[in-house]
Amino acid sequence: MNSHDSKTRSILIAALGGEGGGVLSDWIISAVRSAGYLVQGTSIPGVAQRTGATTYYIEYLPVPASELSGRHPVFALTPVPGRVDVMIASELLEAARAAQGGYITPNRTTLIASTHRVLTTAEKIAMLDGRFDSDPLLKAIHALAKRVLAFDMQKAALDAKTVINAVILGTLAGSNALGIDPVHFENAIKDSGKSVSASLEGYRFGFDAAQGSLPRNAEIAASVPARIPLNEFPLETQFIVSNGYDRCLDFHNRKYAELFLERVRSILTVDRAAGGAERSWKLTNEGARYLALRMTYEDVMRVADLKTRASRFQTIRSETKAAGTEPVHITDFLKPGPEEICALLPPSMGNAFLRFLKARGLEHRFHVGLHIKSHTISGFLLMRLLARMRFLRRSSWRFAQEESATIRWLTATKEAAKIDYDFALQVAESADLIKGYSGTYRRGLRNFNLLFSEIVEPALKEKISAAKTLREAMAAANSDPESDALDRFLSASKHSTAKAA
Amino acid sequence: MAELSFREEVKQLRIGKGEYFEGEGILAVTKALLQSGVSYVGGYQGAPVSALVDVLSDASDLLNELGVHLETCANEAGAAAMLGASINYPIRGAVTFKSIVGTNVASDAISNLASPGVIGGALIIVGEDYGEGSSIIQERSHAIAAKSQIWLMDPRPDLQKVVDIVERSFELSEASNTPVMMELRIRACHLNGRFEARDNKRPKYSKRDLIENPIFNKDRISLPPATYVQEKLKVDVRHPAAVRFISENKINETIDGDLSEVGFILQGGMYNHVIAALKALGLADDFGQSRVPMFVLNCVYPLVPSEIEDFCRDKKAVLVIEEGQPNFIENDIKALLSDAGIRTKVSGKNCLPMAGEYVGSVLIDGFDKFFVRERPAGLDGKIAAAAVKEFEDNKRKVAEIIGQPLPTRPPGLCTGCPERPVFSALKLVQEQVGKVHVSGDIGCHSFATLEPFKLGNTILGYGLGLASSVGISSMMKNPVVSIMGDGGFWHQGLTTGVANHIFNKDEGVLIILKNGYASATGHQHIPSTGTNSRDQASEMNLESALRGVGVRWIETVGSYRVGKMITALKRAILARGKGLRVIIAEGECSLARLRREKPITASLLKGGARVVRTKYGVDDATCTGDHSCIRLSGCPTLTVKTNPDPLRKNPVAYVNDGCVGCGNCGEVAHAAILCPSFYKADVVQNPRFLDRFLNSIRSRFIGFMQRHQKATA
Repeated sequence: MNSHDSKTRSILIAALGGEGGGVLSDWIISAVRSAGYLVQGTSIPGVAQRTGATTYYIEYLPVPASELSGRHPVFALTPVPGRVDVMIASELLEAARAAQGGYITPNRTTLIASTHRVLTTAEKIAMLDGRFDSDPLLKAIHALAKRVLAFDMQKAALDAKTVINAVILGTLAGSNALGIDPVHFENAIKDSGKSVSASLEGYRFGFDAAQGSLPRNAEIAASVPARIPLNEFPLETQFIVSNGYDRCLDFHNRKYAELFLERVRSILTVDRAAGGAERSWKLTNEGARYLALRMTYEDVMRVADLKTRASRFQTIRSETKAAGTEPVHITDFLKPGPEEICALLPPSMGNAFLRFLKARGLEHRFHVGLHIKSHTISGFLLMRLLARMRFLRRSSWRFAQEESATIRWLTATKEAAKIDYDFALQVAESADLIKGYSGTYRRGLRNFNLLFSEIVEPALKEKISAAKTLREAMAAANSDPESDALDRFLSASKHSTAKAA
Repeated sequence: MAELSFREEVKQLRIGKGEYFEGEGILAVTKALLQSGVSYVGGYQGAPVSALVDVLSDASDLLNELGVHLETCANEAGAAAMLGASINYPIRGAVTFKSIVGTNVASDAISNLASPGVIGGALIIVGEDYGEGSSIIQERSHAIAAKSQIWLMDPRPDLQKVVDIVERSFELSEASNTPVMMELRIRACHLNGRFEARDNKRPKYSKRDLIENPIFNKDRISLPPATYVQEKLKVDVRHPAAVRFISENKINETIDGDLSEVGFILQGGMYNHVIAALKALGLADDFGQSRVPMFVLNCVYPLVPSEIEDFCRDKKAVLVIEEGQPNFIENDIKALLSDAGIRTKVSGKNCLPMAGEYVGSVLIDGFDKFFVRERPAGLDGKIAAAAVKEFEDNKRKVAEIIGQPLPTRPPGLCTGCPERPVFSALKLVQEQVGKVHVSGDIGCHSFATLEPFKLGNTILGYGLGLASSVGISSMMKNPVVSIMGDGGFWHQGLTTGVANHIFNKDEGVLIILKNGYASATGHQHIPSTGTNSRDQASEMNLESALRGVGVRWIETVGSYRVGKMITALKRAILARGKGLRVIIAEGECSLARLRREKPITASLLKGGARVVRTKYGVDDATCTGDHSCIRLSGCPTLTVKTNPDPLRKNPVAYVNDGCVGCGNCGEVAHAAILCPSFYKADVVQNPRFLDRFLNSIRSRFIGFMQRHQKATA
């Protein structure tokens, strides 16, 4: 006997639980069957389908069943690497996972994949940005597949008010990768009898995409018209500076925005002295970025102001997909604590209030729970009243606290620039530690103060660069929400300094 | 009603001789049971065999016509014990459960069934949950079969073959007076294919044709001295009878090939995988014609020595393809060849991996090692090496481009799951009372041991959450918090856990997650559902069961009330000296609830009724992007997106379109005092006049204010 030529064709589907992968698999099986071929499908549903990644596998023999003269093909239950004809992935990471498993190969595989990402838990829970870079994933699938049909099928499905599986089926039919008349795929949807018209719309979108040019995601040019003349600032920094200026203006008033510019100028001066022109003015850019964020901290007035904007009401309407005449009721969950109350009180009263709480052990437990119905007249007015309290801002306890941290940070950043440019950049970035609300905010402020007193300020005093230590400490601070890693890092570095001494 | 409806399949269960059945493997087995003339069927749900009982639950008319009794059992031990009906009476019965875990629970009954043996055919269908997609520990059912000496079928995953083997199994069981077990792997259970049906057989004795006289036979009771005789019967009579039946009826299959110096001996369940791998190497065709001779074991225990000897006698070497460990079959073959003085070299786990599923790439790699080692005449020994190199190269290429390991995507709690807020609360209460040891259980809630909760220090078995806490609890500063679903509670948690805890006056906290179903396995009804699988009221509830065994500290809290749950948990944890404190977290499985409510809502909407749709959201502008809300939730719809703020670098939290409005994120943000960014949006669909009127006044007022506000800025 000589070696055998196999005619069997194979389709592997990688999907996520709840996306209708089972239905997709059934549609394909039904289409292949109605084309007159013997087909077998299998899956590993069970508990894996509860939101996890799962696969479906189909094999068929493209020889009319009538010509087999009673012989039964033996179909596989699992794919063999290098033998997959069509790989379907409902999400980009899963497409790359299939490539990694060897199921996408240059001599054989047509890949039909959606390029959208459904982030994994590990990517979402990172304290900073834990998202896996999509570019290498795209590169990998293009490098490995014989033919690629990839676009954002999730978006297409949402536009057609259907599920992604219909768009995928359309793309498969339109690709002609299986050489099966599209009418069989359409009939599969029709025969299933459920949400037929919506599914068909998604199907047609995918079909057209596969036949013609694939849809491109429109790039939205990010440009913000500056409200002020920025000629004094290098071109590379104007985007951030103008955004920062607008943000401060929006946060408080023009005078406050002018103060921001004043401070940026002082950063630019040291940046220039430190040869910033050759570093694309990175220090001015990052300094201005964090300065603007520091100066527009989230106090109650700010939150209330942001929550009563017309643009917010529009966003909510579109996110909830409310139809024209449908009222949308908005409930905001606010729970102001000591920091928020102190945002309204002058420093002396703020201190007295905090002492009062501390004496009763309430400093971390005092909170006023509010459910504000922002769509009602009373709820809206309450929010606006809070927003209007911003006249108290600059004389408040909270402002004094924020301002002292900002000045400490700004001074250190500029000092550091005189020692080492990278050190200054690292110091600038440390401002990012202070963010969030209540417990998160307190922890961030604690970490910031610790880093400054333990690393930044001692280094400045001795005029040495602590860029590396600070970078490592920042990474530790951002690696767990309990700050355990940072505490370990600091005690370890203290220990080693003591040893060295 | 269970998660899947089997209306269409039920129709197919009725078809007769010559007609074709099309559907999943496990449903083919169900049809085969009816073709075999069973009098009773039972089982306990678990992937991948849940559908067997589910489809029969939907087929009560047909079962009544045939007189077949269906029992949804309390657990696997109950199911196996049911087979006791076949010990004294010539009636056929079958039960099903998940293996290995279900078989472990059932093993007491299996031993006591196997010892006296049966006179009516008894079949245990186990879903061998091994390899990719498995939800349990990786062990083999083979060991159970071997130690109890019941026969183990592992049919080739072809629906016709599976159906034939079911029918043959009953005959084998009767011919050898021994229960038979049939293992079906996950993919075989979900395999979609077809087979030629036969008529259903009405059993001789059934609910319609009653047994007049009970039979008492002292030799059939598993109590000494009968047990000594029974053991002798097993080895002297039943084993030889089984071997004779298997051989005479050609249960196992020999497939010839021209590379006659070598051969594969494989479990039937491996057959399609092996053919696929051979096909990839050009050594087999689309119809299973292989160049390598094969001996396919549709019955893996017992082996028929003469068959193995005949297959091996003229061969230089054979490869035993046996998934999982230990390698029982390989060792048996080596021993019996040695006894017979046959010097064929036997390879197995020296070429193939000891552990893990034998998918295509693994088999090709194993074949490569075997061919290089044995160099059969007529074959390039390096034939598989090229294939192995090709897929290694492709994998390397991907790894080089991507540069780092891909994030994994394990299963998790669904959107809207009522168990999520309970774990959020359990994570948050520890900030107040300190860390606690959490004794986990089996169920959807097992996923809480993964990110982002990481709650559950051990899992010891289904319904054993509380029982597994008692060893450590008296040595812990904080009381141990045990978890149990209501599925696990009725499976065995009530007796093994709760009653015994009270009996020993142990201390501890138990959270019972009452979602109303065996949810992970497909929403089968349990006593606390309120109805059984035939929708008859059960009139059973958790609270009276708990009170009945003496629990005094019981608090029932709605699952989604995170704040209340934190308070209740705190009270329970701090109530030292009060014995067992039970918190019942009540919240119906959201998948079941949505499935029930969706059509109702749709028809209400269609009829013009006022329906409020809720979605939660996050304000981009106030979210500072530290993602603590996600670390306390893990909801699939609570994700992150690129920050629209040009100054901020980290992504903001964002609730996507999948939100079902359960409110967990808002509750958690509020209870944990995270941030003011969450909002709840209620969309009033088909608004009434008053809604529209109020809305118009509000929008005008707010619109005016907003325009005015803009002008002053």
